[in-house]
Amino acid sequence: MDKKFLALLFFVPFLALLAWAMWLYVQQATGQEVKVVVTGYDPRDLLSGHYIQYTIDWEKTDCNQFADGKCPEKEFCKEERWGRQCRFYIPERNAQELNRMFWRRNDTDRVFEVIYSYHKGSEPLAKQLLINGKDWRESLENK
Amino acid sequence: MKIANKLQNWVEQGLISQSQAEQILLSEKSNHSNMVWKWMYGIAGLFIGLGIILIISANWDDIPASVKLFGDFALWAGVIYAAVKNVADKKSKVSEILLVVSFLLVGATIGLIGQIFNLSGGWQSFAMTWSLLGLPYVFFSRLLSFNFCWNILFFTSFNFNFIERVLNYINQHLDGLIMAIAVLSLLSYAGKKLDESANKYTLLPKAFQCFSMFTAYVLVFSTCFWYNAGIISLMAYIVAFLFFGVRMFMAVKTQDMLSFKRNAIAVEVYIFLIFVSRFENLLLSGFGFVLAGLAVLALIYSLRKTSKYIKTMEVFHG
Repeated sequence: MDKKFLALLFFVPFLALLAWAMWLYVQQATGQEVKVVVTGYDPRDLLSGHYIQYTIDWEKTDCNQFADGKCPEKEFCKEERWGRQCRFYIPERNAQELNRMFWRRNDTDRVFEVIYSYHKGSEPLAKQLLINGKDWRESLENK
Repeated sequence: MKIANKLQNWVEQGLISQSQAEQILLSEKSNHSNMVWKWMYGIAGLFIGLGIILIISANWDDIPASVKLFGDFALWAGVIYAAVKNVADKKSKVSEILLVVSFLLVGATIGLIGQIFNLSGGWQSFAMTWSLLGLPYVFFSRLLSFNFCWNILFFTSFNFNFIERVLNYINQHLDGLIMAIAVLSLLSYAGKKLDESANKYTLLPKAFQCFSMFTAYVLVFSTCFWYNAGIISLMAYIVAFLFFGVRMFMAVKTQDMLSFKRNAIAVEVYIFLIFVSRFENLLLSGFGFVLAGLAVLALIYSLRKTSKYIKTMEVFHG
């Protein structure tokens, strides 16, 4: 078997994923930043592994951030049986504490928001999780 | 040692001389001791590899995303480079390991990208992307188990809702069961035919054949638990026994002793599952199973005396 042909074949997936990663990086770095308010979808199990899973509370989100003042609900997150489900990666060691803060958000008036990098027509990419306007790590330290 | 007994038998039958037997035994012992050292090196390598993985995992959250991505792609590039060299040089054992690792790195890289960019895709999109991008590595592998696992990964990426509806239909309708077994058997046959021409290039058709037949067996065994009572469950058992019977008949026809044995064991396990699912009592199931085994022995005895097919089996069984 010709080595060049093999190399070409074996490097195709490598180049495809590398290109995808670079495209996502560019999308995240150059998109319009929009802030959305988030809420849980399943009160029994908000955390799944290392991801925090949430839905977007469009009623509390400022739609003036988007063109025509309309929130593009269908462009955000993956459709599941229980609605549109989004994910944000959380290190395991912080997951339980964050969960507790989220469940007590109404008692403590904490607002959870996620900053997305948004390009019309492309899947928005979550960049940052905010608690009362501050990065979640800062909020955990100052709790 | 088994090999020593076999060699002694062959010497007694005059197939080989005593000196040849001694040479073969010496060679086997030498191979065995080489294998022991190889295994020890392998175990040491496994410990070191696992240790590195654990150290990285412990500090995973502190590693910047760019470093994670760079490390992953650099490792993968190295593995691909080694795989290209070994596959081209036809070094089968090393190339198989490298192909499997390359395939696993496809999945790991997709997962890593999903984690870094907080992508929301579920298992189906992940499995489909992994199976399609990993296809070049599977294609060149001669490991049937690896090809089989790829089939499982690929078919789990299909729409679960559709599969659930199909299974619900089969669960309640016997014609659904018969149709599913027929379709899977046809797919297995198609895979076998494709394998005859493609085997020297890839094992994917053979793995597809095995996967289709494996799924058929899973469906057949599920009949023990799906159909609750009455005539429909009895008909389902008859369908299952017919399936096993046809498989055993085909094994005798193609003189495939291994397939015949596997299906004979499958029938015994199936009978056992019937008793377990019906009686829900281990003691009664045990009695039932012993009685069924005695019935099978009686059937075999009568068949040996009268059936030309069992006599054919004796001829090739030697």
